[in-house]
Amino acid sequence: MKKFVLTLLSLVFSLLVFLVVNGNTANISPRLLKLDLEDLLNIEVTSVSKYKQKVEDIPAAIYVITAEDIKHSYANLLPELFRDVPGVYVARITSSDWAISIRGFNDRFANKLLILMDGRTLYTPIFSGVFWERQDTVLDDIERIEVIRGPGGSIWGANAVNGVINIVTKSAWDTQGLLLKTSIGSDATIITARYGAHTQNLAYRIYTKAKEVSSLLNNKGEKVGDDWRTIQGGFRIDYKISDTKSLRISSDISSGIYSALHTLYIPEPPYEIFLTEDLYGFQGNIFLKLENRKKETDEGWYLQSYYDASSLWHSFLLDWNTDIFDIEFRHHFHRRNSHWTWGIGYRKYIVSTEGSEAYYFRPDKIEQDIVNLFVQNELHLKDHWNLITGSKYETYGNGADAIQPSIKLLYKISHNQSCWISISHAVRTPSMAEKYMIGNIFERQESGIPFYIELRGNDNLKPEKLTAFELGYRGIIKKNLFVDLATYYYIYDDLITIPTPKDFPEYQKDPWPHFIAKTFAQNIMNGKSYGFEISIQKNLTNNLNLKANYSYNHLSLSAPQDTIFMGEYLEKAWPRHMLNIISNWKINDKLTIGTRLRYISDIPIYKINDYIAIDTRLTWKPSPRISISIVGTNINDPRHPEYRQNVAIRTPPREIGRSIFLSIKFLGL
Amino acid sequence: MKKRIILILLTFLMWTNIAMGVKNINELKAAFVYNFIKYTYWNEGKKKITLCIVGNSEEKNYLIDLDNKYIGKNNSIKIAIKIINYSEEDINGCDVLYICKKQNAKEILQKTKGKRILTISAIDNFVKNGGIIQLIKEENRLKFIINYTEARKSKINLSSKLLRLAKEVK
Repeated sequence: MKKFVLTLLSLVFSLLVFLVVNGNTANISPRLLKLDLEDLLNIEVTSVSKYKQKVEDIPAAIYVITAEDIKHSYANLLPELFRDVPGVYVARITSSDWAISIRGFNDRFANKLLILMDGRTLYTPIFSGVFWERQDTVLDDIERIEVIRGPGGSIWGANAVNGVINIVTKSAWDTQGLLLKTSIGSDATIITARYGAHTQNLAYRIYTKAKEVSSLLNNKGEKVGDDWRTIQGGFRIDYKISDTKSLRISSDISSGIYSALHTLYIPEPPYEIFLTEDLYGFQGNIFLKLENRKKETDEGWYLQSYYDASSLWHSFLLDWNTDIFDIEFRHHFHRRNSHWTWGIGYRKYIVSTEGSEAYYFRPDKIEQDIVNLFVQNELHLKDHWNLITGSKYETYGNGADAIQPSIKLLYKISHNQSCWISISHAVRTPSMAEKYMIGNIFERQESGIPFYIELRGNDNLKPEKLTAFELGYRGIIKKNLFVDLATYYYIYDDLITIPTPKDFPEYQKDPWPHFIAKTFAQNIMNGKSYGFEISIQKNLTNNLNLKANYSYNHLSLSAPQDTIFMGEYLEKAWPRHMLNIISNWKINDKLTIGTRLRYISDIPIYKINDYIAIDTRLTWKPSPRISISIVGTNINDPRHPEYRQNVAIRTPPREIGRSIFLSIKFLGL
Repeated sequence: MKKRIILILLTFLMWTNIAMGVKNINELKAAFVYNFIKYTYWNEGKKKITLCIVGNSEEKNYLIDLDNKYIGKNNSIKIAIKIINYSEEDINGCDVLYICKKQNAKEILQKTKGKRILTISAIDNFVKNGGIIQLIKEENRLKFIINYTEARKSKINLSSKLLRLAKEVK
């Protein structure tokens, strides 16, 4: 480890020196100076990346997926949009289940990432993660997606431990007219319709989207029956009260039939059988935001409130209902050299569950009240330095609370390059499952008698802690090359895991003779993680753009006992290397082609081999209103698995095969 | 096998970076400035043209590279770069002045009035405000406008080649 850190530090140092030196002086090619004035007038120029302006001066590892990127993407479904982001691993486990995380700790129930859509949290307090199959929106109406790798605790609060993904949709003013889109392919059939209109001070849009997603394959290439379908609709109103004041009201409702693999325990061999079951889900939300903002200085305040209800039923395992009520106020102002931001918020969770014998919560109805307060100061020192200090304070009811401070420093090396350093502390509060669940899993059999393990939650769990040290560089060097480098060293403490049972298994007669050993969740694991991500973008010509992102991560975990669930094995549940290379070529006004290559290294704990996936896309615009695309994904590989459910849930892994889809989009006014 | 494919692709990427590359606009601006200096009639016997740069921008990084470049018959005249602030004393030593940013541009132009200094910039409304040559970007190409009245007032003698190739001569 020491050797790695030393080599990394010297590499980073020499790279920084190279970049700074090359960024500050630029050579005019001698050929250019020999050209005649007439020839100079004929040379075509390309302008510097606008992308850089979006992430300029932010002392954090941030990656922005723009609306333009989404237009050229290979994604059919929302989670697939994140495949291009460095440091993020997007794994499709079953047709509807995804494991997405940043910089380590991935799992179907990955809990260290905060996801927001237009200010509304998408995560569920049940396991502090996201049911990705239930989140969707009109992809063409997304303005941008900001992905911040690294703790966002001081602003975003608890559970933003490994990062924050913020999906921002376009304002109703920017989604006017009719949008009709159908996408038909081997993986999914999707129909989207959106209509927007406006009066002098008010703009609105309404939309509906229906999709049916096919099932994945088993290792023989046969379909496994985990297909699913959803239908969703909603509206958004943006009302301009004055030059600075605006009101936004939005609402979405969706319902779907999902499919899940369920393990049924039986008293004779093979003791566990896997069944696919249909689950019914529903969710709805209503959101209000009143904002006052001065465009020139960006000062102002907002008051927002939302109510979100979601439920799942018809499940063999656990039916649930979650209600979230949230209200938040935030104020941003300037005073001499400082930019101040502060905010106060309140959130209430009400979760009620109905479990099965294999899995249930005790108590089965839980309420939680969270109050938070945060302050941030951004100090502009001289011309080149920005110092940002901030902290968030949260209370979770029953006396528990947490403080999450951070300090960041940005230095502008030149007007085109900057580097930054950040130290922060963040926490992840235990989820409801970790506190209240009782689950049984089948372990083994001996002489015809099954052995089970009872995994219990623990009401006395403390929050997990992260202390993060990060360092980064961002700049435009050597003509049009945009480089973004971020490195990190994380120290995790009090990680929650379930150790293997210490006590001897008990013999029980009901419902059939078996042995059961008990264990429960504890904060006994700690870990260290380090790595870096590098992102490069270049416009080779005005119409040909190339992007490459590489991530490296090394995670080591240790606990004083052997762990059975969310344990040390997670070290090997993350790919050490991830690389993607994306090219986009606008051949002419009507035709664009793109290709993407992705490489993900092994995931040893699930015995998943490294793979290369090649995707390709052709877009034809016969007229300015109509756009037709053909996209092929995984074209080089008949199929490969990306992840497994979880070490404790032993369902066989699904595989993702080649897929192709045709999408036709019509824009009318 | 997979690792080999990655290696090949990465080397291909590096190669394309070196082989291709449309001109960076700021590099092209510097080449234009070189030509403006080349096609201006300076005094006989002048051995050194001082190109002053005021302000911070990417153009500056490229203009600095013009230091110690030669123009004129037999490459006898040397270009010397000088980075200056806004003070009057500094401006007196300049033959050519390139203004990078629009802040304080008007004040700087006031200071150059009556002095024999060729003022060049790419900022908006430069010739309108009294600058001599303005670079503008039009449809991915660089063009230039000349304020001939101002040039004559400052006793800057521009070659007919420049006047002919300019997009506009005011």
